[in-house]
This record gives sequence, structure tokens and C-alpha cells, in this order.
Amino acid sequence: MTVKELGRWVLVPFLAGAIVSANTDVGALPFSGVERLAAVFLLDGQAYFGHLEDLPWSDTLVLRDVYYFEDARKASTGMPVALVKRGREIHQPVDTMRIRRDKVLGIERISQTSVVSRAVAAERALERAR
Amino acid sequence: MDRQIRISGRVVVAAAAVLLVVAVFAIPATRDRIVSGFAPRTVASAAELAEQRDHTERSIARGYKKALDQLSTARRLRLPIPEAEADRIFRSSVAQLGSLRREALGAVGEAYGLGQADIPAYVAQAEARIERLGSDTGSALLAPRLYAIVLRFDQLAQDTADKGTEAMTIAPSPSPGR
Repeated sequence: MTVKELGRWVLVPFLAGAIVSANTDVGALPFSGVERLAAVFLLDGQAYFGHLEDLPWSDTLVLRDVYYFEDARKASTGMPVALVKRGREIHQPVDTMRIRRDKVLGIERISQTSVVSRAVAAERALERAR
Repeated sequence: MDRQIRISGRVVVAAAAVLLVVAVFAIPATRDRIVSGFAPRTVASAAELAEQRDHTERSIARGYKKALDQLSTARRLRLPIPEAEADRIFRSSVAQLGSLRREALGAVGEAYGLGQADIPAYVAQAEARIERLGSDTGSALLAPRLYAIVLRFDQLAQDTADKGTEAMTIAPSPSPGR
């Protein structure tokens, strides 16, 4: 094998594989992976939950299928907060939300067993039931 | 000297395919649709949905009990209106609360995909379950759709309780003719 062939058949696939795998969550691959919900905490104290697209070259984050907490101390649910789906506000925003990167305090991945994930999963099941 | 550049058909097809993919992903709306369509999504199991329904019913029961307690407390006071009138207001308010509770439970049944014909039976079963089990145990973060039903019921029940309390506790103002 010549040096040129080595570069073509070994190095290029190796580099391509390294780049792709470094930016891919194998646990959240389309069709086969588990859902990857993220929590985005903003500097003003608000938190949003959804599917996060965080491209390093973009100055904004994109959240899809967005949910957030609302004060529910006056409601009879027995919980201090309630989960609300974004899109039902008076201005009816479409589901995608863009957030300026410099307004973000932190980003965390949400466990599949968390109360937020379970409430989101229930909402989806109810959407399908209708 | 002119040099001829040869490009094979396969390279042209591959380049066109790459350009097409780049063009599709460059349009934000298209990319959003593709990415969100392919993203894996978890859907609650039947057992998890039943648990959510249980917590929703208990939340409605708590809201009902709170409003009923307010009316009962007001009814026990020495009221500035005749007893018969106070009884009438109390019974009317309690009936309204029951009606609101049935409507809220009906909305829960609707959210769970029950047909209009099945909803009355579900409401009757849920009311019996609430009466039997009470409302004091457990709480959970509800699905937004279910929370909206509970919140609406709470607002209407509180409004009914406030109006009933006011009608029982405020003395009728003397008319100018008296």
C-alpha cells in the first residue's frame, strides 16, 4: 500500500469518523436512540425544556418541542410549579425557540425518569389519544 | 495550452446530491421539520397515563374540597340574611361546584380520547373514586393538558365559592323605598 493509498483509505475515513463520533450522541440517534431532553437555564432565572440544537458556530441555541415551568402554588395540584407547553400563549409562538447564547446560564440533560420527562411523555401520549 | 478536464458522471451525481442536502438543510423551516421529525420521542405507557389521570382527579377533588370548605365555613357563621335564604344560596353554590367538577372530569375523559358516549360513565366512576379515596394523598407534575383542566376548574370553583360566600355574608342594602 502506497502512502497515497494509505491516506485515502485509512486516514480520511479515520478523521471523518473521529469528527462525526465526537459530535454525535449515540444514545439519541434518529429512529433508534432514546429521547434527549435538555434544560436551558437563562440568566433571568427562567428555564426551558426541549430538544436542543447547539451548533458551535451559531450565536443562538435552538430549542424544539419547548416546555417551561409556571408558578402553580395557587392551583390544587399540590406542586409548587406546573409544566406548560410553549405555543399556547396569547401570541401563539411556533414550536421552535431561538435563544441568544450570551443569555444562557447553563444547560443540562434531563433524565428520562425525571418528573419533567414523565410529564412530557404523558402529554405526548394524550396528544396521540385525541 | 488548453488542458481538458474530465469529470465522471458519478462525481457529478455525488456533487448534486451533496448540494441538494446542503440546500435542504440551509432552509431553517425545512431543517426544523426534518430534525424534529427524526428526533426520538418518549411516549408515556398506559400505566403512567393512568397515574397521571389519578393525580388529576385528586387535584380536582382538592379544588372541590377547598371551595366546599369555604362555603361551609361561611354557612356556619351568624349571617345577616334569613336562614332559608342562606340555605338556598349554600345549596345552589354546592350544586354549581358539583356541576363544575363533572365538567372538569368530562374534560379529563375527553383528553384521554374517550368518546362522548363514554364520558358520562367515566365521570360517574371518577366521582365515586374521588369520594371513596379522598384527595389528600400524592401529587405529581401533571402533563400540561391536564394541568390546564385543573387550573380552569380551580378558578371556576374559587369564583363560585367567593360569590356564594359574598351572597351569604353581605347584608342586603336597604332599598330607598323602606
